Amino acid sequence: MSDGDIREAAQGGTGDAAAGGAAAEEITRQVTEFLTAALRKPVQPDDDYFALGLADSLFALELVTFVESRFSLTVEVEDLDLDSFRTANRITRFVLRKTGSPEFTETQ
Amino acid sequence: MNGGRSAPGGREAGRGTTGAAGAAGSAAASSPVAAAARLAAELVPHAARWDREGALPAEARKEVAAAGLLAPDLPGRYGGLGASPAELGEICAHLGGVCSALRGLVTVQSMVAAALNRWGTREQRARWLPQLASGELIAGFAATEDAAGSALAEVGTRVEDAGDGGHVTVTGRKKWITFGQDAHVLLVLGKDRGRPSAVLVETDREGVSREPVGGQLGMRAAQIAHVGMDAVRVPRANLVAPAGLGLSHVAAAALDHGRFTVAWGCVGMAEACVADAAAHAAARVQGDEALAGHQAVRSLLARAAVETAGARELALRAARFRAEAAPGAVTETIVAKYAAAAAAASASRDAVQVLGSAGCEPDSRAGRHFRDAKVMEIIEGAQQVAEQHIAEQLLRRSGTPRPEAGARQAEAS
Repeated sequence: MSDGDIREAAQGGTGDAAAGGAAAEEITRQVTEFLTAALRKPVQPDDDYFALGLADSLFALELVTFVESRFSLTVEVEDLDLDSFRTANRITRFVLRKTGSPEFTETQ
Repeated sequence: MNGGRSAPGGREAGRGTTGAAGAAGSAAASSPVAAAARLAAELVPHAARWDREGALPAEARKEVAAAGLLAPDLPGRYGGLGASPAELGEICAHLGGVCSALRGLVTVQSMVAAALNRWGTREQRARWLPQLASGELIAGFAATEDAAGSALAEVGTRVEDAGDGGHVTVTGRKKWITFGQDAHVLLVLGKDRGRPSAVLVETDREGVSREPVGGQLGMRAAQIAHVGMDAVRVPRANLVAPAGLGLSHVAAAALDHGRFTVAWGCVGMAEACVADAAAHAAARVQGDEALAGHQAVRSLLARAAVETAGARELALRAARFRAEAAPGAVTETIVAKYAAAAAAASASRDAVQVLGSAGCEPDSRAGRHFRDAKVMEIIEGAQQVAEQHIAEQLLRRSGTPRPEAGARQAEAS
């Protein structure tokens, strides 16, 4: 699946739960791939890499820039809490909410 | 919806092109840079005196502000010029070639502005940014402490609930604050119940005390101060980003921006040193021969010129990454700052050598840059800290996971 497909799916172009699920899976895959490379540790979708002490002082900034650039969104201060970026799965929920995927709009 | 806001990696130009500020910035393509060049030419005769007297006169600061150069990359709606990263860089190179304190003024003002633009609320941006762009307020960045330099997570400054629901108190002692002697507001890094927190502290509040620093190695005109805060009450509206994110997000965004402007300031310093050394070598005749006739002198000039040109290209590369808000922008900025600080240090050293006694005179620009360049190798991330990060990035690309702690021990035994 290309980046363009994900954005389309994430932005709810179909409104189809199956497509939303596929988008979620693909977002999680990309985020996990980034985290694994950046932290030089295999990172699972539910791993709290901050708690595991894997992140250095510049990592948060790199992660925000990655998420914004890869998923074409803007992280605002209102989006920041310690938890939204704690695991790959949480980042996926954040991306889906931010890009307006219908099934996630009111959750999390 | 977010036109022109600056990302940690710097999205100034990337998004700016979609907004009014960006349009203004591109229409006036080189005008902020041209303004900086004019200002630099006008101010260059005064820099040695500022250094000697240990202050950048208020008139000089006003001129920088009047030209819109204090935080030139802010979007137009906040009173900025919407300058692109490359334009911001060239501005800092012009000012840095004249005086590090002058460039330092832009560095601190624009780094605090960038952090607020990135992580301030809509209300905070509307309240603070226009005053920072205009120079009505001068900002300082207060992170370093006695026991927290490169390791900023160790800051001991406390941000505590004042118990009235509307305020916090800030208590601690911050060191080496550029323009701390008369900054109106400080972006302070502290801890709220152990969580890194960022808060704006106006310096006219009760409990703020300042201790001017003078006679330090370099940046002598930067009106550096150590600042004490004794239970200073500030409104909760001055807290920037939620507690816990003061270092990883707010201070990190400020420092990332600071590294970029310092890198370009260093490019300007190195270029000025190369120019001064070449001019002297060409004109100075000893015996029957110009200094430039000696191979050893030509070698010094050549090495300094190449290192300086390399630093400029890396700074331009960082500017491109920032303009695209590309994920590598943070690292490319570190690479640029590392290379440019090294180039400024070696070009200034060689320039003093070529200039000889002229380089040692009290008013020598190369001599002043020589002292300041050493400081550049320390501020906004010491060279050795930068190397750690650059090497780590390289190791990431290898794709090999880091060894487990147990595995490391096994290897060592």
